[in-house]
Amino acid sequence: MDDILSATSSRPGVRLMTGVSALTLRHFPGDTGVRDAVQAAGLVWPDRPGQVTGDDPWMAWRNPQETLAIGLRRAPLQAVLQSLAPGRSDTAVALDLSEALAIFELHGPMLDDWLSHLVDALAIPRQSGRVTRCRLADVPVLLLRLDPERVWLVADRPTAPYLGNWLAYAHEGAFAVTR
Amino acid sequence: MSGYRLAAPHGAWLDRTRPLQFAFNGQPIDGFAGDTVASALLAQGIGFVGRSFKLHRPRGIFSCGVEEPTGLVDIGQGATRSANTRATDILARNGLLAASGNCWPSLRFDLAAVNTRLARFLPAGFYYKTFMWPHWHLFEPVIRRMAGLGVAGDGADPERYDEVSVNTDVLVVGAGLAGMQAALSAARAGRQVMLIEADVQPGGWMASQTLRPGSNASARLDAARRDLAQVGVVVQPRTTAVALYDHQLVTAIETFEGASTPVVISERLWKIRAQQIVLATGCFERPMLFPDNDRPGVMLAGAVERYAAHYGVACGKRVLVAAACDSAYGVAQSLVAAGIGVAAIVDRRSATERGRDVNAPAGVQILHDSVVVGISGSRAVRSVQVASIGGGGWQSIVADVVASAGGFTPNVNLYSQAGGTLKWRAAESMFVPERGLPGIAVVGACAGVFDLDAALSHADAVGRMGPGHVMPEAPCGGVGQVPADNQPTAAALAAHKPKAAKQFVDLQNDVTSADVLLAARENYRSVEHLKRYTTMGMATDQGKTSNVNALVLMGLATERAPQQVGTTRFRPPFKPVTINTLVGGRTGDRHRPLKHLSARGFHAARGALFEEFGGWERPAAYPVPGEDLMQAAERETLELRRGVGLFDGSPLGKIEVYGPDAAAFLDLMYVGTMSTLPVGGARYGVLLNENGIVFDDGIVARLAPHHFWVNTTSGGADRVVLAFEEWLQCEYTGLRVFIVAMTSQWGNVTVSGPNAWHLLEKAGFDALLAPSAMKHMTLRESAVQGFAVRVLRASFNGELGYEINLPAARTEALLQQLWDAGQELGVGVYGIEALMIMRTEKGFIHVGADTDGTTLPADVGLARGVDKKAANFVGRRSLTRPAGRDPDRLQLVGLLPVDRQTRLPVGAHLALRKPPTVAEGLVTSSCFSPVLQQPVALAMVKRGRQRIGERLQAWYLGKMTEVEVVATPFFDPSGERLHG
Repeated sequence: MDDILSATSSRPGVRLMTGVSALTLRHFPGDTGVRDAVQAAGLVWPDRPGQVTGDDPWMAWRNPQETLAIGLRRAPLQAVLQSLAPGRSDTAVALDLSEALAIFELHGPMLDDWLSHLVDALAIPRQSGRVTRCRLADVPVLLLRLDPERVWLVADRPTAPYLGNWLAYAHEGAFAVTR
Repeated sequence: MSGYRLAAPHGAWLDRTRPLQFAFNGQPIDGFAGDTVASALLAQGIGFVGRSFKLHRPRGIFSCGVEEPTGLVDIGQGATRSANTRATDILARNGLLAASGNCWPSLRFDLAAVNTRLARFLPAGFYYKTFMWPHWHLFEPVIRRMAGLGVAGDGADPERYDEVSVNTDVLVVGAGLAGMQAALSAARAGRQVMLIEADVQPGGWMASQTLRPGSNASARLDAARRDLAQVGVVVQPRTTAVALYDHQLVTAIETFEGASTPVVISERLWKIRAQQIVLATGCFERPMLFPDNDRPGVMLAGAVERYAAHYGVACGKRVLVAAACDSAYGVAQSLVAAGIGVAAIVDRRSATERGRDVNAPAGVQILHDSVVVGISGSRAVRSVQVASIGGGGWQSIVADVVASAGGFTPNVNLYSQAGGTLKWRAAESMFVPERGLPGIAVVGACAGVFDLDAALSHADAVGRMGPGHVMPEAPCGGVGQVPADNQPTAAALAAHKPKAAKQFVDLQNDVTSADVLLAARENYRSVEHLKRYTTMGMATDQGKTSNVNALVLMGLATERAPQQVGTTRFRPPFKPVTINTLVGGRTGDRHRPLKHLSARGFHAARGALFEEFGGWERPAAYPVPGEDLMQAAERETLELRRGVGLFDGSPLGKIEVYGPDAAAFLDLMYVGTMSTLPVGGARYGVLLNENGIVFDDGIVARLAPHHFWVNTTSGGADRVVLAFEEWLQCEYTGLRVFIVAMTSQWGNVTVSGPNAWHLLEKAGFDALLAPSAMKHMTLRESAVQGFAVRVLRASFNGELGYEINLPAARTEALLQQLWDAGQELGVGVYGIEALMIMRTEKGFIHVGADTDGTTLPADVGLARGVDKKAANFVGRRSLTRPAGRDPDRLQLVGLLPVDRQTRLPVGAHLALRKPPTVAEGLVTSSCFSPVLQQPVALAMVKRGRQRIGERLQAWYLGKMTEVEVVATPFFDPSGERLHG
């Protein structure tokens, strides 16, 4: 993991995560196979919009037909990927997005203050176990509130340098000295 | 004008322990922390600070706030210069540089002041009537240079800007007593409340009334502040709400200048969403109209009081109060209490119209039924001529300041932005909000409530009620009797001078009462026409102090009440906002999203020149020392055509389409038929929008019966995914298909050239990928060093080509592996520019370059797919419209310069003769072909395919090149090289 900004007792930090696996799980209404596959891998299916379930890997509701499975523990995700590989089901599929996504871990105190300099206030997931979709400096991102002092910011990997720049800039704005 | 600093304790907002110094027009100005630029200037006796917009008349400081129309200065210099800034709204700080903007060579000696003598040639709308012979354009540059109010910064602003978004239950805009009361009551009702205030401290109008004898304003304000803190209201000073948008979104600007801590952030843009917004934005004072009312020293009465109370500044030694309302008397009381001389109160009203409890300070003369009819002094007021409204005689009163109190104008800008309408109250002569808006309440002076007890009671009720309740009606009034027409009467003017001086309505745009009357005479009666014809209210102050006087005048001239004249809608921003505050951090690398290649290091190590293509930073070419971009691209082209080259095609759009109806869906999306593809087969496809216009192209390959691999253009990946989703979600809802964007998941290394397979073979790739075993336009799933790859045989340059798709993180390693393995073969790398040369040589279209928003597939030679396909597809119906069958449509053809030497500029127009004439088409792609050793180009030409062999003229910026229409491709017409 590459620390971009270190957290202190009064300010949050951010690191770019490495070794994170991610799957997109797609399913049509009425499909039960995806839920079965997830449960068989020991994961918890998110029933409600905006919900994040589990604890590494996490399952994040993305839209009525898509759930993102993401985490550092690869084995459960591999199990889901295999059971829902293309061709296994006509009503659901899992595809690997591990290479496609960049994950920034924002950690430490005052995360909401920092995020309010980056995204619309209504898009900040303020409670653990919530996920929101929004735009950060014109880039679509997911914000997963894993716990009170930890948020994962998930975005398209090629945008990581751009987003990293914004995170640092907004950190300065949120916690800098003003005149 | 002879302003001076009052002794402490006057100046409640000053910190006299922190003196500061700044420069105005090079002159050192002393002040204290808390001073504005205007207050410090006035304290030093400087009243003449600028020149007017059109006539270059001397102008001074008129107000004490954001409404300032004349005290405009440039702040800073070079890159940090902020032009045309209100001196009343900028906190002074050590080292600040302020300068008058609209004057040359100096403020005191301004050559353009000659305009005052030419004023009769410059009435409202003069540019519609004068300077027309021989041509307006002859005069326009000079007139434009003479107008204007400052010079913009001339470099990248080094200051830091910020933005923040917050969400709250209740947002109260304005921290006067009414706003504080509403905030307090809302917080006590259990709601989260944010209170923003433009000034450095809360208090509003009440805070400037602390000097009045017997005033308990200070105590009330202290108590209110304590109460707010107790209930947890977030008070945000120095924050001006500048816009109110739909869905209760308010944007506000917070400024930080003036404090002594190190500067990190200059301004911050707040985006505040609230369930309920309470507007408590107060009011502006309305000036009196009288001759020469723009002279430095003529000020708003409330401003004179405010300078004394907040900044400890006496604006002059002897103040004459020109009144049309009761508030003038309170100002006079304050001034006398502060030891400032009050020469007289000149009240346009009769004694009976004055409020019963309203009295002048002891010893101050009141002249009722009297008006100001003249000012002596050009750059400062020396004396004031006063006459009775009935005429007769006049008298001159020595004074250095005229404090003008013509009533009040509720500050309804935000309310108006939100769509609120206004109603005219004749007794007080002011426009007030007609009704509440959903989720938006209005309290205090902003609502037209000037009686303090009534205002507090109303604000309390509003604060206690949440959104969704019907708000109590505002108890408007409390100002007393205010006449709408506050001009001197004709009799009064006649008593002084037969020909009165100019009487300014809009001080910032130099609009006079005569201009308004001229507009009426010329039938620009509509308030919208009045505004645009005279430019009234169109300056940066948006007519905060001028609109009502103009509407009253127009009403008088056209025998209508102000309500009938109407008002214009206020637009954001409420006050001028620096562009950089809106830009925030969007500069440099944060200007816009640019995607980085995962193998960026590989390219950088080979000298890649990165440029933006379709939202990605990609190697345009790899110049070696001594080469420019195009020389490098031409070298790379030759290297590839003679051997083998590597290309990073990772940005190529990649979409996986999966589901039982995937094939049927793709048939609907593409002109070509994809359902007949065998597994492992690939086909070129064109995407149309519903109008039949080509909007992207690419290759579709079949991975499995229900699983497709879709390549799009690099810049088109996102829009194709969105288009697919839109059709699925809105039109073809019954189709069971998943669309998964995979561009970033898969890298793409393209190996091209006659030796492409030799290189792959040397690198250990499976023999099943050999050209003999794998045909052009087929796809194989394979493995390289343990990781899965999808290899597509396709080509965008006409050579044997392999597009190797692999996990993105492996891209750099594979490029390095192939580079190392290819050294004996002379492997090279090539960038986008070389690719563009090669595809032009082959006559392949580049969507977006050779196509535009009118291009149909037949125009670019892709009609075959349409003709062959029986089934429906998106855009098909539109192709049958008459425009699609027009024989004169532009068609893609090749062009060669007749001299075989001149490279044609992209965009050059094709014609039969020298323009102006009807264009026959345009050049869409052009390059020098290194393999053919001549320039080649593609063009869209009317009936192009029927004109092969014809000669045309290509015109570009006045230069002509004779060209010949030719068929494409230019290179390898039989396509042999494609097969290795």
